[in-house]
Amino acid sequence: METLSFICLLMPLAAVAALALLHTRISRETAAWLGTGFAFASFAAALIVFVGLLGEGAGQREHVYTLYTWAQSSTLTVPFDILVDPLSAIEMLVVSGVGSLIVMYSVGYMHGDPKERRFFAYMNLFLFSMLLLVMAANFVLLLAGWGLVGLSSYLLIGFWHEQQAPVKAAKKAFVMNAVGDVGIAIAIFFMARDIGTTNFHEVFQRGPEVWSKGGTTANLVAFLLLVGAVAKSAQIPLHTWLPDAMEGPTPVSALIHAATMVTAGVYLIARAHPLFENAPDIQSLVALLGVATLLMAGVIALVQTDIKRIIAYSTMSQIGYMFTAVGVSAYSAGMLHLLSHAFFKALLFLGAGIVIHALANEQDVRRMGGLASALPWTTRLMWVGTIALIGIWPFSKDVVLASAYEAHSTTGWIVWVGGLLGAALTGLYATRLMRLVFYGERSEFAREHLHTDHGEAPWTMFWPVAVLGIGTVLAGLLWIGFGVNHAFATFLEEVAPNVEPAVSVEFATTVIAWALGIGGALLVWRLYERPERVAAVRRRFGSLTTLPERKFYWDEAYDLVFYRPAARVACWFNAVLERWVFGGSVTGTAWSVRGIGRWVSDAQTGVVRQYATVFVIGAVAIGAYLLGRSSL
Amino acid sequence: MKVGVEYFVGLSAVLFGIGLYGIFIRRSPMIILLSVELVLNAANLALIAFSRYRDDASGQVFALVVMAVAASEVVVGLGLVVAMSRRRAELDVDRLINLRN
Amino acid sequence: MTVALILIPLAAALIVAFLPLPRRSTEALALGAALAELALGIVALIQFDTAKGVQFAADRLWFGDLVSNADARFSVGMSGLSLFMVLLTSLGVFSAIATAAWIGRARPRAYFSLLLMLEGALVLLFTARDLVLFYTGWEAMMIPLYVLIGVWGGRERRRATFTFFVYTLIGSLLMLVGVAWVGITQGTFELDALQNAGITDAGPFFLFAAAFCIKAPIFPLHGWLPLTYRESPIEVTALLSGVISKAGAYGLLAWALPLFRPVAEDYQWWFAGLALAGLVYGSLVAFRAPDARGVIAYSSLGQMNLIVIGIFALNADGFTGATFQMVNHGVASLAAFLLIGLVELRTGTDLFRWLGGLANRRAALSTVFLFATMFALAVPGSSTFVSELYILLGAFRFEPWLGAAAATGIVLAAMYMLRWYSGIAHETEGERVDPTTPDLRPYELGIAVPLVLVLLAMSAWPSGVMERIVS
Repeated sequence: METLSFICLLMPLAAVAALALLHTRISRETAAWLGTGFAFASFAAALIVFVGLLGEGAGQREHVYTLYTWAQSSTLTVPFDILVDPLSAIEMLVVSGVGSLIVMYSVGYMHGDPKERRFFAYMNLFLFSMLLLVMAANFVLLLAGWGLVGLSSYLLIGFWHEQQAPVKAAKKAFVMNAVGDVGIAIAIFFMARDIGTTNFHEVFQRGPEVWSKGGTTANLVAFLLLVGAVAKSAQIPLHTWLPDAMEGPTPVSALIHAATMVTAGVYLIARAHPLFENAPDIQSLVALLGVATLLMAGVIALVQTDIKRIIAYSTMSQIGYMFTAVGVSAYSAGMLHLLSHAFFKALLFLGAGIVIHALANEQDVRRMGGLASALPWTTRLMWVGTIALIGIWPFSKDVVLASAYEAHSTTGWIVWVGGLLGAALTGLYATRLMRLVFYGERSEFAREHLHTDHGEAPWTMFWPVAVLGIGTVLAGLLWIGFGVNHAFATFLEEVAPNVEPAVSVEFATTVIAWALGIGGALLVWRLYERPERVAAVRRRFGSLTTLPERKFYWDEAYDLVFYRPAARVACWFNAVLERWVFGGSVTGTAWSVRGIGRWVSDAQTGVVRQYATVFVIGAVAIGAYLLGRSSL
Repeated sequence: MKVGVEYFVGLSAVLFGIGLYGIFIRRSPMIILLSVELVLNAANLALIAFSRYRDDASGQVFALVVMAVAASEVVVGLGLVVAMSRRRAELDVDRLINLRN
Repeated sequence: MTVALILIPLAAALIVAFLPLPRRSTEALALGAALAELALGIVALIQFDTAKGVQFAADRLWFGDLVSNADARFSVGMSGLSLFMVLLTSLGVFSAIATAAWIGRARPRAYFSLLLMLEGALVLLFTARDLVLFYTGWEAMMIPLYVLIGVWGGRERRRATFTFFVYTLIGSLLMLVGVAWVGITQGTFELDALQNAGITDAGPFFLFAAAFCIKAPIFPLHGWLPLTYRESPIEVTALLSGVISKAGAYGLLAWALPLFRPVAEDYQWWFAGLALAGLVYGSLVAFRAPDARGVIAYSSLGQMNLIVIGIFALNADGFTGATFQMVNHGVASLAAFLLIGLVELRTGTDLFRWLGGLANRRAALSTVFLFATMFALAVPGSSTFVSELYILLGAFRFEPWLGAAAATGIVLAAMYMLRWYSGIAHETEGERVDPTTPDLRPYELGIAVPLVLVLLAMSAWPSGVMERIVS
């Protein structure tokens, strides 16, 4: 099992090396399939490891494998250790499984792009980084994976770097993620100083011993980890990079910004839950940030006109749900939502990709419509995803909300209400998406540019979407009787204990959530059936849409508070301080030296007689002095 | 009759004074060089006189050294003067100030 | 072994200078000598035994009774730190000579012999165990630099050389006073003896520190940096940033701190605080510098200040991190500047105004640049990240706020390095770049790739270096 775990981790890295070394010696298609092959190999390894874990008895499922010592000083050693336990195994499956499907999809989507080989190298780099992140057994290695994932994201968002927008978006994503990196780094410093190591085992055991519950240090450490999680998962307040990240190719959006990377924050909190349980105030903060994000993102999604951005904000919102889950200690529920979300969100993105592909790269939903007849299977699969998203049976995030209610705290209540409102919002925006894209009258643009001559989509693009659809349904099955049967919860129990809400509460919550979700869906449906109703709504609520359309002005705020002052100060340093003060100190020295020299050289008049006079006077003086001394 | 040392020193002083006068007052480089020679020889005279009267040879040795220095300095000086006159420069020390600053 | 390492470049310098060979042969000879030096350095690395402390030593009387009773001895040897510094030097000079040969410099015999002389002086500096010998190396290093910058530099080279010289000279003279003081009061110049002498006078510490802080440089003594870096021939700039600045840090680590530890502890806050200011200042200036050289130059300033923070944390993590960072940043900086040199070769400029789009259809160029960017930025997972983490940890142990504040440098580094990369490589091609501008040729890859490989190797196995650095 040890070898297989390492194979799972290193296969994608081998793909990168192979693609880099072979580059133009193999055709683009070969490179694409090579990249896909390595990804699937990694998944196969992950699957075998997972089955192996299942076979083991409970309590024996935690394995730490050491490769070698990575870094060391006399006071801190960082081994290259990987951890294979139920939590990481689930993540391994999600990353490699959904990852390989998306890589395969890219064979069709990226076909013909001049930098196609590079794309697959980058995708595999991402897979390696993400696997490193979830398999790391200590915080330093996790941070390494964390940063490399950020790097892959930068490379993939800015893939089409000949244009300005992707480059800007990539930089923004990277810098915001770097802020998260700093948070985790400082948390590591605390661990190194107070516990002497960053290995998960020791930190989780001794952390609560060394840092008293609810104390300043405990809160600081949890907060710093939260900063990292928030940056990576695009939650308030470090969320502004995610919508811009849609500049990258659609498979990238699907893989990184829906299924895997953005869920890393959730994984981190779930993994480090002993530290969060040790800082209850911070854990509440997690839940509150989740609620805030899920509501804000839901509202923004409602007014977006770019199909990918709608799905992006939906992602932000759903991760908000995951945050609320881990914020109320419902870890299994959160992880199961992560799992099913990976499937249906990737499904939605890839499906959107098929639409974009069929419409000659158009992404504006106002130029779509009535595509259901042209893309029947895509439509059906997208519905599967949408139903999962809205949370209609058997998918339900209500366990989360119910558990929150059970906590009987203010935070819990806020989560409950916010989560239910969010269900309504989800119903609204998800149905709006489907309605605008697939139903109603086909827009003029769509009539002209739609081309489905070779069927809905190339098979390399279609089948991954289909498989994801099946996966979504299967994931849904896992939710069934979550409160009662909890096979999933038990599997995860050893790593992350779960909270059990009362059946009655859960039932009530579920009913309300469904009602709201389905109600929202129906509302939108009926609304869009008559264009005049839509126009009426727009007239009445028109002014309200500015705020969400401008994404609540977060970007502008950050620009004003951080970016502009920094740039100003930097410019001032360059133009004034460096040029005049520090550069000037040198010229100043030069001038003064020259000045003194000039002053002194004035003594050289060139007149011989003057020299002679001075000479004689001097000689006489010295003579007199010596004579005076000797006579004394 | 032994001539007293004071006579030699007195002669030396007089010669020295004349030479010094020449250096300060005259303007032609040739004459200044001549005056310098006078000064040097005056010094030599004093040295030798004292050497004789104190029976110490080091005075005469030093005088030889001074003669060597005087000779070299004259060579250089005369060389300069010749070069200057070749270039039709005015042989006037007050005007030769190219080494200013 | 050490003596050989010092003499090979010096001998080669003489041969190259006086042998009237044609250009190509001179270049080949110089390159060969540098390669031999590098190979010998690698042999030393393999033979180095961590348990044994200072190795490959040699010791002979040089000037007896130089000052009062103190002898100046020709005493050299290599500690772990020295070993890596020597390796860095040989790698750096090798790359520099290779680049110079490719770019083509006027009067090659003079140029290459000066570079080799520089190498010899540096190796002497890094392996000296006698203070007078160390000082000799310190001064000797300046002479070839002065000529290299003054003769082969850019338009403002006169001003640059003058600035550089005045600043460094002030430091050197102060250090000379310090050296004399040590000799007079301690009666010896040997490092081993001085380390255990328990000196507590503050004055001499500052004399030494001044010289080292000017060389590193530490804010606010960095006035010479921008002009010198901008006007030197590119491979000299690469050496300045990659190797010579490390001499300042080395001086602190190997001489100033062991001799004056109690004094350093008293003034720890001053130095660490100043270095923190320098880190932030350098990073901010780099963020808005208008030229590629400027960005890396100020980045260098920032990184050296970070190293000094690590040094003045005065604990194991800080020392280990700082030493490792010296190696890492040295190689990364070499790579960055040499790449800029290749860009200047193609476009004649390094101003962002005229650049852009160099990554379009130039796979090798964009990949190598990407590596350089990522290592300079210390992306987590890289060797630079490891060393930076340990430095910050050391700083944190000393004073948590210092560590946390310095950690923000990570974000700033990301900002300015990404701007650097985008400014050169991304978006549409700039005015001085056109579609016919070539990608990296095999020779150029031969210069850049080894540096990248070294960095990758250190990223995969940082403890290979870290376990050999015993403070």
